[in-house]
Amino acid sequence: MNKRLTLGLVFAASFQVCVLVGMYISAQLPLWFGTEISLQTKPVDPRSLFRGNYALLSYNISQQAVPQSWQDGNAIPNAMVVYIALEPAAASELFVGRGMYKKKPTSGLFIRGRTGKNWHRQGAPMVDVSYGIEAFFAPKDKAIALENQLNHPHRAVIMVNADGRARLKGIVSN
Amino acid sequence: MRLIRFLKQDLAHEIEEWVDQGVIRADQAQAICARYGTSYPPSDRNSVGYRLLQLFGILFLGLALIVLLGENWDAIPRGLRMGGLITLTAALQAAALWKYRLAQHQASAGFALLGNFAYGASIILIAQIYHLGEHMPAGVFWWALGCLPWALLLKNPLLMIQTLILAAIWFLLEVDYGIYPASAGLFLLCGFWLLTTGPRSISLLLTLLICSIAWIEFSLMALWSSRALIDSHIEQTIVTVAVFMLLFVIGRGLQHKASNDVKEYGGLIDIWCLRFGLIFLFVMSFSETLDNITSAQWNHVTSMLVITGLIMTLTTIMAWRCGLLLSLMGVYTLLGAGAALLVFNPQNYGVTATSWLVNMALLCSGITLIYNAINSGKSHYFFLGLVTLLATAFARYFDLVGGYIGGAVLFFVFAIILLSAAKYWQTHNVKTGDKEALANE
Repeated sequence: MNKRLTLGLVFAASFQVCVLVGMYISAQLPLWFGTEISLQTKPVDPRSLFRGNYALLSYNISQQAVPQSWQDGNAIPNAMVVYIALEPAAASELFVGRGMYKKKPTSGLFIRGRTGKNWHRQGAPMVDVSYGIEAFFAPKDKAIALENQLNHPHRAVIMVNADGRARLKGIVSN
Repeated sequence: MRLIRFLKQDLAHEIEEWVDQGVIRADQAQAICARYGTSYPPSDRNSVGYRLLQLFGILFLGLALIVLLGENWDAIPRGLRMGGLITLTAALQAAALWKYRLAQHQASAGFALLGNFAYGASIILIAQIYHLGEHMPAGVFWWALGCLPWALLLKNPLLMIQTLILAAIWFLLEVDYGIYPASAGLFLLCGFWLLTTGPRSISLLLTLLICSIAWIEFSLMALWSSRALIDSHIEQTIVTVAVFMLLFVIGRGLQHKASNDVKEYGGLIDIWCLRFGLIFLFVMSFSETLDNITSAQWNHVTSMLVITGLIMTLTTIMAWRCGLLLSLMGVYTLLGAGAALLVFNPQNYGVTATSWLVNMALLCSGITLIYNAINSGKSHYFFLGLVTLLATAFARYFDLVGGYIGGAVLFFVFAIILLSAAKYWQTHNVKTGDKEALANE
């Protein structure tokens, strides 16, 4: 068999393993080095075609008012990267958003997200923002139990990296 | 004999009987089988049924693996789950490599296909363990990209189809998310490279055609959409028609090539473009559709004309080289007349006149197809022509174009055409029979 082709096939197999290892490390990094924060959350229970049951989480920072300086008559593009500055809420373990930015803030704690649907609240332009932490995968029974418990306030424990990328660590009852 | 490819194995078995009965010799049997891309004596091991069963077996194994992950085995430590799946992926791909070294190419492709499923399952597992968002287009992209080298190196159409389907899922997820992934075209290029350099594969050709047309449509949507939304535009209709006309001419051109495989590709493109053309005409034969077209917002006319003009220029050059220029000019005249009637709308009869024009075009197409079928003996043209006439008749029955009398006249015309075609067929067959009898004498 052609030696170059053999090397090519070895590369193809190695490439897949490298991608998997890379994805694992990328997923794990915020959990190793990130800062822990808590956000108020409210889940429902859908099912992913590939990944089984999960609780779909909505956060207090999932809907952002469009800053005055961004309002040029055009809608905010879909999937645009934005950064939400975070700070602890008064007399609470929870964090809240304190403004949305197009560029990465140079200081303070912030979380990276992508814009979604544009809408209006009482005439004021709003935009949905997702952070890649909107799904909590669990076995079916646990997902349903979680959904039932979520009439009560819960908080999501999130690890946020220095670049704003976040990972969902868990959900705990308030 | 385009349909013969579905019956190759049956043909080989039939020919085996002819040889046994002494109708033809073995060398003639081999020559006939070679003409239709099958082997004599027939081998059931390479039959379509055998390969399909294997393929579906592998597909269901892959699905079983992915569905199993859905159970979310959180009692098993993360490392064990991850390690297990990565090891399984590596082992399956190693088996594919080992089989390839033993020159067992089909088995190698089978292991690679299953390995690609295990690789995808590993990506899904990572996304599940780390709760990576609700949608994960990037994960599907890496899945498709990981499958691509295997398809290219093993030059296997099945692996390329797997890659293209995954790339299409990634593309659609990104578009749904509001992003236009321009790099999707690279997957198509790789697919076309394999189609032209690898083994013959009708399935790959069809997959590529579907993916390419979808890619063109979404590219036009992205080009003409506002920055916050990727949505459809009326101008796409015109460009799509131009694209299909180009494809049709390419299909006809390929049928003049020496290679049997290329001829078969050409025949397939030809017939599917013809079907699309008839469906397009059928949809356009309704005055409601034409009303919607005239009342739609045409916001990108200039860029549409530029793109359509470029495609039509290319089509005309190719048609000229294939000797199809006259037919193409006929189609251009029809489309141009329809467009002029809709745009200038003389005495507010533009829509009605275009509707009649399209109906007449459908009628003529049906007659031409039946006529060609009778002359060339191609049954699929005959049935396509018949379906065209019947579908047009039924549609006109329901919307009763021209009232009761107009409808009755239309059906009367249809009846005359069909009866004339039947008479022509009978006469043609009698003449052919007479000629053969004369030649035998």
